Amino acid sequence: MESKDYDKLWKDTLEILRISVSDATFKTYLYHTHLIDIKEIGDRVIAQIGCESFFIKQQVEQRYFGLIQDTLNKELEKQADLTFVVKSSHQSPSTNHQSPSPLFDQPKINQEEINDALKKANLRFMFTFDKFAVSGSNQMAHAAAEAIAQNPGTTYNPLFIYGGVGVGKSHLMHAVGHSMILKNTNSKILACTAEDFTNDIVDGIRNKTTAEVRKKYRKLDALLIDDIQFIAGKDTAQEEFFHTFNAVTSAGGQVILTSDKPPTEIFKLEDRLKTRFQAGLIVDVAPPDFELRSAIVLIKAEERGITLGNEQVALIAGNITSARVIQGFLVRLFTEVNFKHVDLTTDLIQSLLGKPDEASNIKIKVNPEDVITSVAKYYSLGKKQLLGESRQRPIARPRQILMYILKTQVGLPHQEVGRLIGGRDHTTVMHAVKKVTQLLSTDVDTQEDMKGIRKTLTG
Amino acid sequence: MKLTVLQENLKTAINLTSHFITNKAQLPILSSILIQANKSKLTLSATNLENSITTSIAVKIEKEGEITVNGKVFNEVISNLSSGTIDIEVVKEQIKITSPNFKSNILGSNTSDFPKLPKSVGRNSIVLEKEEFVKSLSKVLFSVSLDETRPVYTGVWFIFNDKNLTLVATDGSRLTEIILKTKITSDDFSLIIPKSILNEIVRIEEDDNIEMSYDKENNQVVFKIGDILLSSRIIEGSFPDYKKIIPKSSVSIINIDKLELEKAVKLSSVFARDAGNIVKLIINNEKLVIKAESSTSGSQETEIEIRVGEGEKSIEQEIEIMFNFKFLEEMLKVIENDEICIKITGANTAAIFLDSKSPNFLHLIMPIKSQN
Repeated sequence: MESKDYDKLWKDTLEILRISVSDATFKTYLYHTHLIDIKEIGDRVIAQIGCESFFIKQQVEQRYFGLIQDTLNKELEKQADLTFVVKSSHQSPSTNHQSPSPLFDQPKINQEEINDALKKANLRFMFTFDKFAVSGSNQMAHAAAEAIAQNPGTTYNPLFIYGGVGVGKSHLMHAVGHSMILKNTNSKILACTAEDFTNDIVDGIRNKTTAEVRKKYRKLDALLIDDIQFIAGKDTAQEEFFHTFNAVTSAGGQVILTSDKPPTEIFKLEDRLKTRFQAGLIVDVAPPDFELRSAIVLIKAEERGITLGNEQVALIAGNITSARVIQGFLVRLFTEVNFKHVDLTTDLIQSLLGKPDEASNIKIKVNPEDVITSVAKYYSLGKKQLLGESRQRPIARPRQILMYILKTQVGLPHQEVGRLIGGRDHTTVMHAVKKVTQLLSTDVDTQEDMKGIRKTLTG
Repeated sequence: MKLTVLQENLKTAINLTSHFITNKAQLPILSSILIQANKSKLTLSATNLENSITTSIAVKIEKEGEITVNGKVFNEVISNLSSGTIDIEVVKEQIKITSPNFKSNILGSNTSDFPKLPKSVGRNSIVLEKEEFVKSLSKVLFSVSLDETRPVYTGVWFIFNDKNLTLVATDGSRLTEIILKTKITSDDFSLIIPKSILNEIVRIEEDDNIEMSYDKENNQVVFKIGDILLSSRIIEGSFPDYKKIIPKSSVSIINIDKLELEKAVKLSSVFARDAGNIVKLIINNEKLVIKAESSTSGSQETEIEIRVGEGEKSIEQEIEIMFNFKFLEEMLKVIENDEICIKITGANTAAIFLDSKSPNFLHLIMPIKSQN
């Protein structure tokens, strides 16, 4: 009989006893007893009854022995013998599953050990769940990764994360590895890129050490491979990976892969690999939306020890679309503030945003004429109207956005932009850039428009 | 039963005994005191089924006998009588109390329902030196938790190990450990004793040594102090491994004047009370600053000079650490020395407080984690 059945039996017994004794007696004595064990010996049973304290045991044993015995005889339909012990009731689930109190809730493993383990696993120190900001665009992938971190190898195997550049695929993958290390520093985890994997195979063949390479990859608790699409078209690497994949997963290890496209769209990927990837969970990570970018700005800024106001965060998040570029921008901001000793102000951020930086901000290589056409088309305006004299908002606002794009994205100088937009003064252009920079941080419509125009430009 | 007793003696005994009755009890017997007259002793007993007391005083007995009586009524009557002799006589479950200018009839009842209490401390008892034991006990008791949902925290852990008795108490946010040197030669064992019985022991004004015994089978511990016999149930369960959480290294070790710190904490409490009891300690090489801030009443800041321990490395970086001021206040109360030593490891790890006058005392307080 399980302890649950004992509880049920004892509950029934107590209900019957309750009828025979006074309420006070019941609540003082009998209520504080419980059934610990029942042993059957021949046609008799021995019931062990636990009492919460010595006095209760004494009283119950002396006064209610007969009564309990009679009741139990009827319940069990056998002759029952009773023994009494002092023992607290085992059923106190609330006390067992409580979170530890602050004093006893401290990391047990020292940091050095963790760092060593991370280094061995080739995991990036900064890529943890703590530092991963979640919003609608990556919620699904994050939830899947967390679930895996809880139960590696069983929940989703393999996990296939795909998405564009700088959306946080590798971050999630490494975070799973990181949390596994935190749980057990002896976990065997390896994070690498498909390139590393291929190189190892090639080295193995050349140096005749294939066996060692296999040992390195096949006996793992978790194998994390970045940019798996690069394996496509390399036959030996694919075959080796196929066997590695099978070896790891069949031993209960977790496999996580990232790619820039879903498995079905990876050209020259063997079918047996495709189907294996599809057997697990495939999630995509979309480019970060405005709120997520704001969160990323905050996290990255904190890492660098920069404190930003809400307005400033919105300004950066509104103007830069990729997480990696945000990081680059903060590095620039940090350098500007620390080495040039400039005060960190909204104006500074605005001027840095407006300044097309060497590499980071020029992304669109298009003809200015095309930009004008795209903007006009997007707002359903005539080109003449757009470049004309009207100062009405429905026309002036698109014009300002046009100037912003020409200045910051195409990288034309103020004068040139002015010339293109119907021969306007360069100060008009500067005003427009400043205005749109501000709008991007606060106005959802402008953000949406910007996204839309960008799409038409980049195709 | 018929006897004559001095009011002063009876009053002290009843007062103590009445701590062990529960007025909320459903069974009248549990709010009663058992009175037994035997040879030349009057014995008073009470229990609330968790712990019990039996105490006796010397009286002049004419006729032996026993009865139970409502403890609250009996206590209040006896306490309010003027000192001198009292005559007590039991006639048909009624107690007649007579003093020179007072007469009373208190209804009693039969003693057969009264639970049997331990009669003696048993053979294998451990003898504890009263003064040192009580002093140590009172230094750990304040750390015991009042939260009944974690039963093991509501008692003091007694660890008998290699002639030492270690007392440990914690409420999950702070912890006190004190080690007593004893002459005990028993086997190593440990048990968790509920705070209620220990609070009583601390209050008892007897000079005799304390005898203690542990009845493992019945989960009961018995104490004997002079003529008083106390028993209590033991808390089942195991104490968390507290040794593990005592920080082994520290970033800074500082010494501070205890009175000044006490004053500063008191001052900070004025504002901290409205702000979740939080006070902030900022420590650098020369001073300790205690800050408290409340959005409704204002803020304050106190500076205290500190002495960095000799041969200690200086503090490289200013440390900010936040505490519940109540924890600091209660801890300071049990420090005997004029100076207190604080060891800090970081803003989110427990700080150690030491009293150089009693080297066996150790107190840990977990700081409040900062939000950012």
